[in-house]
Amino acid sequence: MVWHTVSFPLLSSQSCIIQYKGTHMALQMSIGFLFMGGGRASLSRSKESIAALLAACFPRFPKSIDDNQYHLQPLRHLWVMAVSWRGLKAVDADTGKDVVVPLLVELDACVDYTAETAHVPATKRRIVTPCLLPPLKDISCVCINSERYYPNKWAIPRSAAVY
Amino acid sequence: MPRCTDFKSIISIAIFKCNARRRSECGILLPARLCLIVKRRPGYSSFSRDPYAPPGMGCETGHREKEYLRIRHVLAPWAHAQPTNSIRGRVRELENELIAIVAGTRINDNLEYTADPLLVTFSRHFCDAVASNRHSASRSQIWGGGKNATPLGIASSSIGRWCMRVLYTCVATDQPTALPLYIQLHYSALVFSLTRQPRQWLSLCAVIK
Repeated sequence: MVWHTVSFPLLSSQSCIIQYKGTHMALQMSIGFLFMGGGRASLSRSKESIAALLAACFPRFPKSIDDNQYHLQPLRHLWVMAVSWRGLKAVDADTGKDVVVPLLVELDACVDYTAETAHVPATKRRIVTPCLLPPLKDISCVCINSERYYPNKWAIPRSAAVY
Repeated sequence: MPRCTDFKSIISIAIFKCNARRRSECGILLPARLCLIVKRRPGYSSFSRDPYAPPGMGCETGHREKEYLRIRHVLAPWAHAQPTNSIRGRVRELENELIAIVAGTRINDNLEYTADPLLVTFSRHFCDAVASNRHSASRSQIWGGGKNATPLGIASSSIGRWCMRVLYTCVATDQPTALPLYIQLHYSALVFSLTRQPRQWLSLCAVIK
């Protein structure tokens, strides 16, 4: 909350028209979605996650702290069930520091992603660490796409890509 | 209708069960383990230290000196071609800068092109003076023969050049164990030259060169 008031003083201003608890709740939820997990997490696309998000973001926000007339306030916490940790970073084996490494993510053939460049097929995607991976269930493998580093390839197990 | 506190407890239990199930199913890909361990090839700098890296991946050139940027670019000419000098001059320049960086005489930025103590020691004791070309006369005493008389029959600066090439080969190919072999060959050439065995001496010189 301190971070919120420091970074966004307008939201805590008394002269602002924002008065209701529901408005603050909506704004804080949006900020939480934006900076979820310090940039290392994102929202999942599974059906269960969408259902949880629908329950959490139901557009009937309360007027006060005890307003549960149209939507139960505890259900706002259900967005946690839709969180998917997909932040990826690369660490240099010699120095132990985070490094910038171009990667090539091979997606499944059935996945429809837009290719960023004309040289990369639609089933491959170039990313640079640190970054957020696509949904893990759509990834077949991740390999290094740079001459500066020794080639390596990581396969994503299907059991790990449930969410 | 249950009270609000009851719903809170129900939801907290559901979230706890969901996290437990996720942890058991995810196995090796827990959040803390979405981390790739990579190893940089010898002779290459990281993208964060490369001023000629693609946008968003390189270093901030505003805080660096021009000479420093040039040195770092010289260290990986095969990554980004720069057709300015001839090949021979290019290789010579690359060797000089590599010696200076490995020896730590020109940059104090801890560019870890090699962490092998043998190579670092060799560069500091035999190649730093060659790079600056100040103490080549005294350094040449180590190799025997004084300033103008060396076992290879060339000037002392050429000995230094030979040292730089040896060091460059060892660093670029990531084979520090080749350095003792080079030194032993050189020592053998020195012995043959002192014992006046020209045939063996010439053959060894050809091998070393």
